[in-house]
Amino acid sequence: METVISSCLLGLVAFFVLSLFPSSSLLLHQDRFRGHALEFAQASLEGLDQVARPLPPVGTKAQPDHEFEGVVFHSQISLQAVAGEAPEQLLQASCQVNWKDALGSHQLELGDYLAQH
Amino acid sequence: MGLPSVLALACLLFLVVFVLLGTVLSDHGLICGLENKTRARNLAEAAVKRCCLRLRNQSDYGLKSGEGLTVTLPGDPAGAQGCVVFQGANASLNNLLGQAAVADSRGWPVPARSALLIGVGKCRSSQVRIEALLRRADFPYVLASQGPVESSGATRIGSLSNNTQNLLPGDLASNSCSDRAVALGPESFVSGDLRCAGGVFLDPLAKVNGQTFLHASQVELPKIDLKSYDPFGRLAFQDIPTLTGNQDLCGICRCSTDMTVQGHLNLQGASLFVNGDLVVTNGISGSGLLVVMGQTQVQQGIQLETSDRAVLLSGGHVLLTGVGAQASQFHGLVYTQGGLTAQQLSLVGAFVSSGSDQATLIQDASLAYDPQVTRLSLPTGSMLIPGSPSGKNTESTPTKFSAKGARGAWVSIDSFVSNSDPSLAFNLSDFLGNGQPLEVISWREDP
Repeated sequence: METVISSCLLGLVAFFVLSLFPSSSLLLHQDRFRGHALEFAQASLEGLDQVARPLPPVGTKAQPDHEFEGVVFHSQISLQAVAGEAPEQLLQASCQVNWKDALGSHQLELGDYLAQH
Repeated sequence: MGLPSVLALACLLFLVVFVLLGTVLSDHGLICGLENKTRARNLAEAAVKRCCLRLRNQSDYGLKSGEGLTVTLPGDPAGAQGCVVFQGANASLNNLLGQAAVADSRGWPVPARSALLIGVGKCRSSQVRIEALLRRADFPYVLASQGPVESSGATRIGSLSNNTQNLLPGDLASNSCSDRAVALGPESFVSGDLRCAGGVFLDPLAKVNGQTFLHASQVELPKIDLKSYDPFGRLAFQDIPTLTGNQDLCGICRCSTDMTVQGHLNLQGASLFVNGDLVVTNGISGSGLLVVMGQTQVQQGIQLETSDRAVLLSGGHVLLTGVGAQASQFHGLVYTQGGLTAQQLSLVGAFVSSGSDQATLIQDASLAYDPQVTRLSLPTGSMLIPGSPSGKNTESTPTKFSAKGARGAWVSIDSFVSNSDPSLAFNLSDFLGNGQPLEVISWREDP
């Protein structure tokens, strides 16, 4: 009886451990990728804000792909006019980052305003 | 293996599982928190930027009740928004048109001619608050002329550098719509941008280091009512004779007609109003305010200490001549409603030819931008404040607060206020209209 209980208990614990380790690892990686995408998008928007004089034309521009920990990130920056404001004075900028990992495809979009200095 | 050993092993493995779960959840929470905070910060910044633009185009924005704005950005979750309000909690305060400091809702002073914008961004559980203190930027051009600009000889236009003899970028603008709005001769050099409403003639040997904007929109030039500076009938003044030798002036002085100084004019923190033309045969030195209703002619501009600076406001043509850019120097602001001619001297400051289509001629002269000259401080007894002849001053008190920090420098609100200058007698920014950009004096983020 004791052997049966011990075996069941060990089996249950082993199941938890074996199923949790890979998914935890995946989740940790996914957060790392999302954190990287966030940092990359924010840096792209800030870089755009610093060099923009005068403001660039509205439109969408793809950025070069880059790789982080074996995952390829695609990104593009979209600039569009803000309703009620002159496009040479204020634009809405957004950076969209896409990547694919073991859990599937992901997307992060971050926005900001780009104002004439 | 006995049951106690199995239980101990199971407990150990569960502990490992809980630690792992805790790490994963903590990491996930950290990333989510960081993302929410980044989005909230961008929303707050976006709201401040948009409000800044509104203030630039409409100086009284925020003075009417109910004014304020809300922004949303792509990619943000539902309910995330940034806002700037002028009433209630986190209220911004527009004091751009104010002549004295005003306390905000917390009792903190917002200096005259400034605006305090408080942007609040919210994204899920994160909230970021940004405070920005703004004021009108200094006049940005070394030389700006309503009429055409023509240079000849070894003319150099740039901006002062503290460390080296090299010129930093300095911009030139002309509002003339003619085909030769700006004509630069063979040895002319502009270290910054060249902007004109008309066309440009560039000699093949002339050089413009920055960008050239042809047929661009006209730049806004300051408009100054010189007559309002006349102290007659409203302020005590010394009456200066029409013809004098070397002059050392202090306090408020006035000459009722044309004035000729056969020698050198030294301003010891003085204000001089000339109700006619002014001729100075041997240069001007010292610090002070000169308001000339007619034409101004200054010969032999001399070498000055760097701390000296003069503000010259002239209703007619201004002629500044020297004996060479190395030996002759004028440090200050020149504003004329006629034309401007500068020959054989070095000019440090800012130069505005406004209100007429007369030409600006620069010959063998060096023009270097110094934004400090757009503001002039004088002793209280020498302050010539513009007013009406009836004796009622348009400004009952001098400017209470004025930042002296470098252009574009971000300093704290406290240091901005402590740099206030109650002796500020002249500020060119006061005469610029709504189109002048706003510059950030202080930027603070909470938490």
